[in-house]
Amino acid sequence: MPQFDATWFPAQIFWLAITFIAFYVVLSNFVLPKLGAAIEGREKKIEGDLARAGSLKGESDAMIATYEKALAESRAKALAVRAETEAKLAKEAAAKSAELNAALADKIKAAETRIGESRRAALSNVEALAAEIAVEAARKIGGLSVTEADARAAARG
Amino acid sequence: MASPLEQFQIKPIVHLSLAGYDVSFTNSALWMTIAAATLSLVLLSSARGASLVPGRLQSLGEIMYEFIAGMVRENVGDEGKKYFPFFFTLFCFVLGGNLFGLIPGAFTFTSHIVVTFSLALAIFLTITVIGFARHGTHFFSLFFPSGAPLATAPILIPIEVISYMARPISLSVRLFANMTVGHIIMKIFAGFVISLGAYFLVPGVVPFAVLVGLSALEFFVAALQAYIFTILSCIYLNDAIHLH
Repeated sequence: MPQFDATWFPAQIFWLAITFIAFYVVLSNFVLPKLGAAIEGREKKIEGDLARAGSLKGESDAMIATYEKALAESRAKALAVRAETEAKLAKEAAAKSAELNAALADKIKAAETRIGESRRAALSNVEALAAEIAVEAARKIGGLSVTEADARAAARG
Repeated sequence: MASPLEQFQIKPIVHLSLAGYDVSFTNSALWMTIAAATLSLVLLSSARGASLVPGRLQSLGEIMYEFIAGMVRENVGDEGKKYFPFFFTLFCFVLGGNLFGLIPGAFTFTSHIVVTFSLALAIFLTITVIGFARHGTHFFSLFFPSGAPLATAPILIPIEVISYMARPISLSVRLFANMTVGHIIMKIFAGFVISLGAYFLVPGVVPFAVLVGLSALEFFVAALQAYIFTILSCIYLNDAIHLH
C-alpha cells in the first residue's frame, strides 16, 4: 500500500503543517472574528429590539390604563351629572305641579262658590216665582188672599 | 487496468529537500493546498462585509461557525472557547480533504495514515500539554477514576494509560481506514463498470448503479468522519481540562 511507503512521510508532514497552519491563520484572523461579530451583533440587535418592544409595550399598557381610568372617571362624572339633573328636574316638576295644583284648587273653589251662589240665587228666584204663582193661584182659584211672605214660606216648606 | 491502490500513489510535482529530508511538493500537498485555499476563499468571501441579514454565502459560513461553536461549547464548555478556531480549522481541513478527494482524479490526502496520524498526534500532544499545564501532576488522576476501590488500581491504571495512549492511533486509523476503504471500493466498482460494460452494455449498468449509491455514501462518510474526528478531539480536550 502506498500509504505505508515511508519515503514520502517527511514531505507529507511538512506540507500538512504548512497548509494547516496557513489555513488556521487565515481562518482565525480574517474569517472567524467577522462571522462571530456578525452573529453576536445580530443576537444583540434582536435582544435590544425585544427589550425596546417590551418597554414600549409597558408604556402603551400604562397609557391604556390611564385612558381607561380617565374614561371611567368621566363616565362616573356623567352619571353623577345625570342623576343630579334628574333630581333637579324632578324637584322642579314637583314644585311646578304643586303650584299648579294649588292654583287649580283655588280656581275650583272659586268656581264652586260661584256655582253655589248662582244656585242659591236661582233657588231664591224659583222661590219668589213659586210664591208669586201660589199667590196668584190662590187668588184666582180660591179667591183667597195670601200674603207673599206666607206663600214664600210655604214654597220653601 | 490500474490497481485500486494506484490512486493512493504519491507523485512528486516539485522536488525539494530540507535539512536532508525530501519535502517535495507532491500531489498530496497539491490537494492540501487546493482544499485549504478553496475553503479559505469561500469562507473569506462569506465573512467579507458580513451583514445583519446574511446572504447565502454568509449563511453557509455562519452555519459552520455555529455548528462547530456548538460542538465545542457542548463538549468542552466555556474553557473551550479559545480553542474554537483550532477546531473550526480542523473540521474544515478534514472535511475539505475528504470532499475534494471525491472529485474524480483528485488525491485524497486524508486517506494517508501519515497525514491523519500527524494531525492526531499533534492534537494528542497539545491536549496532554494543556492537561499538565492546568492540573500539574494531578493530571494523572485521569488514569484512575475517583471512587474506584484502591485495590483495582493495578488493573485500572494500565488499562486507562493504554486507552489514553491509543487515542491518537484510533483517531487517525478511523479516518484513514474509512477514506481508504471507501475509495478502494469505489475504484473496484468503477473497474466492474468498465470490464462488464466492455463485453455487454447492460451488465455494466448494475455496478454503475452501485457506484452511484456508493458515491452518495462516500459523501456522507466524508462529512461524518470529519465530524467524528473533530468531536473526538473536543472530547479529549474536555478530559484534559475537566479530568472526567
